Amino acid sequence: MVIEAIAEIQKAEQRAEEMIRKAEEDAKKLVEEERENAKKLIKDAEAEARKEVKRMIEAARKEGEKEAERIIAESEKKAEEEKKKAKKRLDKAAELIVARVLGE
Amino acid sequence: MAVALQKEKVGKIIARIEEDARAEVERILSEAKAQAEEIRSEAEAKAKTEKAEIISRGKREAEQERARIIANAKLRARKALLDAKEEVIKEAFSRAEKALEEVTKEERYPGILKKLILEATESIGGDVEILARKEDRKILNRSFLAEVSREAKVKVALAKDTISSIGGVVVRGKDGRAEVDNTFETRLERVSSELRSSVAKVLFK
Repeated sequence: MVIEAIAEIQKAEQRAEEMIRKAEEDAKKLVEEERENAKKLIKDAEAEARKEVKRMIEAARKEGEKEAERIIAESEKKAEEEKKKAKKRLDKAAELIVARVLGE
Repeated sequence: MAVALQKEKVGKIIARIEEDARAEVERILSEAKAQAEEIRSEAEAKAKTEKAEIISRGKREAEQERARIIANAKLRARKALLDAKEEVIKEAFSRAEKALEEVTKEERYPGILKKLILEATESIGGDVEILARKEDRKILNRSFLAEVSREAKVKVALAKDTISSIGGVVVRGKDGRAEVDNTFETRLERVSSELRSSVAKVLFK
C-alpha cells in the first residue's frame, strides 16, 4: 500500500514537472515571438518613415522646380525688357565711347 | 480504516503537488506575458522615435533640396540678366567701332589725327615719326607735319611704313625706343574696361 502511494505521488510530481516544463517552453516562445514582432514593428516604422521622406523630398523638388521655372521666366522677361530699353540708348552709349577714344 | 486514511493523505499530497504546479505555471506565464508586454511597449516607443527622427531629417533634407533648386534658379536668372546686359554692352562697343570707322570720312578727322599725334609726342619726348594708314598719308602732308612739329616743338616726320587700321596713327620715337599706338582700335581697347561701368550706366539707368 505504501509503495502504491509513493508511486502515485511520483506520478503526480512527474505530471507537475511536465506542466512546468511546458509552461517554460511556452513562455520562452512567447517572449521570442514578441522580440521578433518588436524587430518587425521597428523595421516597418522605419520603412514607412523612409517612404514618407521620399514623398516629402519629391514634393519639395516639384515645388522647387515650379518656383525655379517662375524665377527663370520672370528673369528672362526682365532681361528682354532691359535689353529692349537699353537698345534705345545704344547710340548714346556709342557716342560716349567714341568721344573717349577720340579724347574729346 | 487505516488504508482509507492513507489514501486520503496521498490524495491531499497529490492535490497539493498539482496546485503548486498550476501556481508555478501561472507565475511563469504571467512573467512571460509581462516581459512580452514590456518588449512590445519598448518597441512601440522606439519605432515612434525612429520614425520621428527619420521624418525630421527628411524634412530638413526636403527643405534643403527645395532651397538648392531655387538657389540654382536664382543664379541662372542672375546670369541670364548679366548675359543680356553684356550682350548690349558689346553691341555698344561694336557700334562705337563702326562709328569710329565713319569718323575717318568726316571733316574733323585731320584735326583728330593732329590731336592724337600731339598727345603721343608729349609722352614720347623728342623727334618722332608717324605710321599712318595708306589712305591717311595725303592728310599728313608737308604743311600738316610742319604745323604739328611747330606745336609739338619736336620734328614730326612721316614714316615710309603704313599701318592697317580703322583710323588713327602709331607714333614712334625717332630713336625707336618708345612707341605710342594711337590707332582707334587700340584706344578703344584701352578705354573699354574703364568705360564699361559708364556705358552700363547710360544703357541701364
